[in-house]
Amino acid sequence: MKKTRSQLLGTGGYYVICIILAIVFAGPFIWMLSSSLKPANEIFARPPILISPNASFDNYQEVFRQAPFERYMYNSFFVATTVTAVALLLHSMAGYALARLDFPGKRIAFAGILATLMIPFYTILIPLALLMRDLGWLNTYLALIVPAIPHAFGIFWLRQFFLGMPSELEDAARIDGATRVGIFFRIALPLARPVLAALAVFFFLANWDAFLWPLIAANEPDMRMVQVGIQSFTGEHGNAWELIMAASVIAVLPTLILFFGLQRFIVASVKLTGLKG
Amino acid sequence: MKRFGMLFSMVVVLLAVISIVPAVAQDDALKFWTFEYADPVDPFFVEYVEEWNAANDLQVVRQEFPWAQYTGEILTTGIATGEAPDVFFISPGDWRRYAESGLALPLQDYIPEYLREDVLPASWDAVTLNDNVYSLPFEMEPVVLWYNKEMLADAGLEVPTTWDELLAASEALTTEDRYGILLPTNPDYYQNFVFYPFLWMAGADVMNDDFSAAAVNTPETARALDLWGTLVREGYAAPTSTGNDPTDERFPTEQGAMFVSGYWVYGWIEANYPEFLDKLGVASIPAPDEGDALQTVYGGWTVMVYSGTEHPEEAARFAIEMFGAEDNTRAGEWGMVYNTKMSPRGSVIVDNPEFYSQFPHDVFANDIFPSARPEPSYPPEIGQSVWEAVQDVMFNGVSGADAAAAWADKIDSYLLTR
Repeated sequence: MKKTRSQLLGTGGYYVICIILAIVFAGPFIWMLSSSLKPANEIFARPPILISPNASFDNYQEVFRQAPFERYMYNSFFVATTVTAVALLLHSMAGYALARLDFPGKRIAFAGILATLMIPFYTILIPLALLMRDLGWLNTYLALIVPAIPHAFGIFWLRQFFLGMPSELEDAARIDGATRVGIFFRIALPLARPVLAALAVFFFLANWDAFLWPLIAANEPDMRMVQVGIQSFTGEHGNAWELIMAASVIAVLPTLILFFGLQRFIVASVKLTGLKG
Repeated sequence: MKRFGMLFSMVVVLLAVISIVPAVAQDDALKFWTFEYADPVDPFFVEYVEEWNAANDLQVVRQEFPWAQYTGEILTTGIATGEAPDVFFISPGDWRRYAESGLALPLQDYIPEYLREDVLPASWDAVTLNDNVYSLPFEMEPVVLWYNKEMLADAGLEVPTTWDELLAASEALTTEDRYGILLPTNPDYYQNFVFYPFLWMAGADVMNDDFSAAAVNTPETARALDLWGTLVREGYAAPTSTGNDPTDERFPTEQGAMFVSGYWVYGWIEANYPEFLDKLGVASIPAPDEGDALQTVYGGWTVMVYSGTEHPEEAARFAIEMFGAEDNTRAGEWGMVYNTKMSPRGSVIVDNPEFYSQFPHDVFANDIFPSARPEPSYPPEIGQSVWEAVQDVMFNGVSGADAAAAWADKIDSYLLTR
């Protein structure tokens, strides 16, 4: 079938808009990549240099030479995966209980959990640091991991999902002799897989990108996480942009891989829970 | 079920693993905190700490923190949680607040006589409160007018020495792809720092002598504000920041002809833009009118001892010997080898005539140093009022006189709440 003129125009316009949006979103990333390969004196050159004739991986080598960046990556990876795994399990239990069980104080508990979303982290920073000190956890993985686990967002999202789960499924399982625990692990959790996958991405990214708390909780160089590590390339009289860019490229890779690997789950879960931005 | 059982057991194992990771042992040692210096500076601290640890039973552990969070989040939480360091670097803007809050150990009694005489009186004044020294000055970074010699020569211009000449030169040097002058544009303490010499040279000051009222509601203040306002409004000065106000990359990449910034610019250009050194010129910041006294400001961190330290004696000695040992080699190297800074110890200039006869250090030692006044330390509310006034004239179309009046109101109403 031949396309009419207006259809062609429409398709063309669609592509133009897509290209503009792609530039807006990909631009900073491409600039970061390009700058990470440049020597320092070309970053602010005018006219801007996109592909430097002096491009090299020197900045990347310098990042690893100046700081134990692999150690920072390992710390971030360990903390982010542990938080994600533990949080998913505990949040789904809490979400399931709030959605499917009847117990006194359920509404208050739920409201209380949601209310924590309204407390800015800055206000609990010092009490939390004091608590960590009293527990002797400062400069350990415990201080980086445990406070990051509870989060109302995950509990809320999973509760919304479990509310929508057909009760017939549970009834059928109960008739077959399943216990509450069995229902949770065999019926509810497998059904929640798309939501869990999406939450896993969110939790991992949030913890990978965490800055303020890791900065406070761990001041030993070996315990630094990756975002704090990047910050170490800023200085008294200016920032080593070329190193910051190279370090940022390294830091962004795991998140990109994770996101592209799991993005279909994110889309699916938004549809499932009726949460749409 | 199997898979989730596995997940569950993994979680249990993970929790078990992290809970047996032992806490880092907190030995009885002196904690020494600084912000993170660039890599080449590190050996200075490493060597000093090694030297100290070899000679003393009480060991020193140095920890460094990201620059941007050092004063805010790191020191604040460190002190709030009782994890405060025994010895730490403190910015000139903060030492007074720390001293007034009783967080600083008075150092008067620990300072040896030779050091008292060697360090400039103005530098001592800048760290003295109620006749006691609360912090040790170890560096000076004066602010000057850097310029691109080639651009000035091409435009047939002399280095400006008055504000009229500065305006005219900024206008003449501004072209489609470069600014005549680069000033700090971000609203922060650094902007205040660079603005002070303009304010002072106009004959104004932020506070009156006994700190009881604002002194800014004057035509002199308005004149200084109007100069900055005009430069930005007319498009002679860059209205945006590259994020690095103290080391604006547009200067060595020839997108700016003049640059008001500090001594450090030389070291930074030497390291990153060596090809630009031939074009680099330096002069005092112009005074308002012909014959007016030149004045500039200098910044520089100081080293403080925490009042709550369990080892005041050793901590004070560690802090003093770092830059104040009788042999001034280390004090000199800090500024001449590891950084581009001046020592507040006069003997460093006297003992290194060769270094201080080279460009640009000669200009700093002979012309700039004598006219430099330490960065004042105001409460945060007053600090904020300074950059708000500067921002008003630069970006909000407010006249210098109106901005000065509003500025005075802010300071006075703050003083009422004290």
